[in-house]
Amino acid sequence: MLKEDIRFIILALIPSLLFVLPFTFYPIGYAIYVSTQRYDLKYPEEIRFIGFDNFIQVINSYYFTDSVLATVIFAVISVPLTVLISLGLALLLSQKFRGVGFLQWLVLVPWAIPLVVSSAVWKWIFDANYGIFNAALKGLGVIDSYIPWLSLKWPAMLILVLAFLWVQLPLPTLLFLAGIQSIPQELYEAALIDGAREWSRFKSITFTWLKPFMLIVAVYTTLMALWTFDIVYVITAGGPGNFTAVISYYTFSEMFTFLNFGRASALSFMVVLVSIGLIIAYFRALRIGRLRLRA
Amino acid sequence: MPGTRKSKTKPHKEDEKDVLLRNPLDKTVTRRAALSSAGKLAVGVAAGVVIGAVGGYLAGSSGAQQTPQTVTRVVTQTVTQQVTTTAQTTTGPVGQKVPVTWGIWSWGVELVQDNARIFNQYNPDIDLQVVDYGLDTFFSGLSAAYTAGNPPNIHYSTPDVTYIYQQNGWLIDMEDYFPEIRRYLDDVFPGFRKGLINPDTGKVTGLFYYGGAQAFMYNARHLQEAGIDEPPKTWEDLEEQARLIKQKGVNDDPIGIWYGSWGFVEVGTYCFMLGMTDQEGPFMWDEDLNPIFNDKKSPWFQSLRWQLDMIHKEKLASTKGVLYDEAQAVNAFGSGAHTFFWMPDYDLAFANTPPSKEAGNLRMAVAPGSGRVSTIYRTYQVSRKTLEQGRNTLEATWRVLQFVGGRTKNGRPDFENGEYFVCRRLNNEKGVGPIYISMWEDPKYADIRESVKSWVDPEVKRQVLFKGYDFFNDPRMTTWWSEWWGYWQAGVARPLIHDLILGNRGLSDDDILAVLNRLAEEWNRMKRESKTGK
Repeated sequence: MLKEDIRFIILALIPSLLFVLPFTFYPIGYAIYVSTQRYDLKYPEEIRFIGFDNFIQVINSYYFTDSVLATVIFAVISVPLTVLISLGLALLLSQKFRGVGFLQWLVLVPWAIPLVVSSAVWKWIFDANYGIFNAALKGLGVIDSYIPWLSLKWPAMLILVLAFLWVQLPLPTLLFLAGIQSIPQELYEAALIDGAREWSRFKSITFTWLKPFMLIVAVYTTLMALWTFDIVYVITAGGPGNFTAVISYYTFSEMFTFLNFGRASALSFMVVLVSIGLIIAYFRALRIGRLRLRA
Repeated sequence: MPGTRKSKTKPHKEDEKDVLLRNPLDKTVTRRAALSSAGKLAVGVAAGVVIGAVGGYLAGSSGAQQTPQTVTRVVTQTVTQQVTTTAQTTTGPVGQKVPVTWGIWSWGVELVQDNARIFNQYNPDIDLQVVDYGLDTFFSGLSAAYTAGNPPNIHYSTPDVTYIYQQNGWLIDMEDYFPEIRRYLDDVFPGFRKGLINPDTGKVTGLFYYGGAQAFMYNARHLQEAGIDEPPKTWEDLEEQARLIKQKGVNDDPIGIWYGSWGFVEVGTYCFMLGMTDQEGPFMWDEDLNPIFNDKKSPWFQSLRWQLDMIHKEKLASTKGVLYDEAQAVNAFGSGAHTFFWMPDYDLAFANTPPSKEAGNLRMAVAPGSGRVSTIYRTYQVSRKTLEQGRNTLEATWRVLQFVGGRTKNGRPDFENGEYFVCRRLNNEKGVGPIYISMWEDPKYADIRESVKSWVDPEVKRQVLFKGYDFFNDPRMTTWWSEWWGYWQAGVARPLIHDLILGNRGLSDDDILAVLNRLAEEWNRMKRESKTGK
C-alpha cells in the first residue's frame, strides 16, 4: 500500500472517528471500567475498585437465572421468525403485481411509529377487560369470557414476540428485497434453460445469493432481541412473575431504578460478550469468512 | 411561636457553647442547645455585635453580611421564628435576591411554574426557580445532581428515596433549624405523620406535597341491581355480596384486586391485610428489622390465603389485576369490570366522571373489617447544600417550603392565620388531595370539599383518610425497601407475589409459606449487604 493511500485512509477515517471514538468507544471503555467499580449512585462516596464483584453479584442475584431464561426464550422464538417472515415478505414484494408499490410502502409503517406507542397499542389489543382480541374471540364464539392473556406465561411471551416482529420486520425485509433485486436475471434464465424447478432455483440461486444478507439480518435481529427493552417495559413489565423479564429489563432497573451503575455495566458487558460470541457463531454457521454484499 | 421554646431553655455548660460556636449549624447540635447559646450570647458581652448583626440582617444591610460567620449563624436560630411569624424580609445585600431552586418531576408543570411565579411576586427578595428532573428520570437525575454537588434546595421526594438520601446525609431535618415545623404534625392525618419524620432522628424533615389512601370503592349500580342496600362492613359481607352479584349475573369478576405492574404493589397485598386484621402493627418486620410475615399465623399470610381462595377457588376475583397499571386500573373500575375495588382515592376522580362508563355510579367507603387502608404520599425535602449556602438560603427555602406545603398569607408564612395555598390549588385544579385535617374540616376550606363532590363524598373521604396506615413505615423505612418490594416495578417481592397469585407456585398453605420464606430470605440478604443494616 502506498504512503499516499495510507494517508488518504487516515484522512477519510478522521470524520467518522471524531464521532465514533467519543460516542461509541469511550462509553464502551467507560462501561467496562465502571463494571469493575462499586458504583452505586445512591452511595457515591463509596465508589471504589472491586474487581469482578459486580459480575459475581449479578450472577448470584435473585433475578439472573430468570432473566437469562427469558432472554433466551425470547431470542430463540423471535430471531428465526423475523428472518423467515422478512424473507417471505421480501420474496412477495419482489413480485410484479398490481399494488406492490403500495405494499412496499406499507411495510415501512411500523418504523414511523414510536416503539412505546406501538407497544402501548399491543397492550391495549390484549387487554383483559376491553381488548379487541378478546372481543374478536368472544364475537366468534371461541371464548366465553375475556381472558387475561398478559397474565399467562406463554401468551405473554408470544405477544412480546408479535410486537417485536411488527416493529423489527421492515429493515430485514428491505435488506432482503435489495438482495433479491440485485440477483442477475441471467442466473434464473440459465437455470430455466437447465430445467431447474422453482424450489431448485430458490435454493441454488436466491438462497445462496442472499446468504450474506441473511447473516446481516440474523446478527441484527439477534442483537435487537438481546437488547429488547421498550416493548417488555410497556407491555408486560417483566411479568407474569418474572417470565418475560429479559436481561435488558434488569439492566435498566439496575441502572435507573436501583442506580447501581456498576452492576448495570457488568450486565451490559456480559450481554456484549454473548453478542460477540453469537456473531462469530453466525459467521461460522453460514460459512462466510468475509462479508461480501456482491457475489 | 417566638420566645416560647427559648424561654424554656436550660443553661448549658461552657464546652457546649464552644462547640456550638465552632459549628453552630452542625446537625448534631440540638435546637435547644442552639437557642440556649444564642440567648446567652444575646445577653452577654457579645450582645452588641449580635444585635448589630440582627439589626443589619433585618434591615437587609450589607453590614450583616460581614458579621463573623459563627455568630451570624447562631443569630439565625433566633431570628428565624420572627421571620416565620412576622414575615419580615430576610435577605442580605440590598437588591440582591436569594436564589432558591425547586426540584420537581414532570407533572402539572404549568401549575408549579405558576405557583413559583406567585411566590416570587409576594417575595421580591427571593428568586424561586423550578428545576424539572423529568418523570421516569427524576430519581436518577436528582441523585446525579446530589452526586455532582449541585442538588436543588428543595425537591419532591418519595419515602424510599428520602431515606436513602437521609442515610447519605444529603437532606436536613428542618426541625433542627425551624422547630415550629413540628406544629404541622397535629394537622396531618395520623397514618401519614411518620412520613414527615426522619426515622433515625425522630425529627420533622419537611412537609407534604400530596397524599391519599388506597381506598375501598364499590359500584353502587351493581349493588342495586343485585338488591344490596349498603356496601360490606366485614370481609364475610364482601364475600357474600360478591357471590350474590356473580350469581345474579350483574358482574362476573366482582372483587377487583390490583397488584400493579408499576408502583402500588401494596394495594392487593398489604392493603387487604390491613383491612382483614385487627392486630396492631408492625406487620412486616420487628423493630430490629427481622421479617415477621413468614408465618402461617401472620396477617399477610392470612390475606394471601384469602386472595388465592377468592381467585382460584371461589372465582369471585380474577388475576386480571396482576398487570394493571394505574390507567388500566382506573379504566377497569370506571368501565364496570369490577364491583369492589381498591385504588388511590384521587383516581376515583377519573373513574367516576365522564367519559367513564360508570360515571356517577362509583362510591368510596370505609374498607370492610378494620377499615384500615394503606397510605400513599409524597413530600418536600430540603438538601444539606441549602444549609451550606448560608442562612439566607436556608431561611428563603424555609419560606418556600411553607408556601408549597404549609400555611401562608399573601405568599408569606403564617401558621396561625394563613392557608394552604399550593395544597388547595393542587386539590382544586388537579384533584390531588391534601392530607392536612383542617383542609377537610375547617369551614374556610369549604371549596376543597365542594370541588370533590362530583366524584366522592368528602365526608367519606375524610373518614377514609383517618383510617390510613403507613405502608412505607411498617415499622420504618430502610434503604433496600423499594428494591425488595419492587415498588418501582422491578424487584424481589412483586414478581414472586404475582407468580403466587397467578397460581404458578401452587395454591396450598405450604406454597404460600414457601414464597414468604423466600421473601424473608431475600430481605435478610439485602439487610446484610446494606451499608448500615437499616
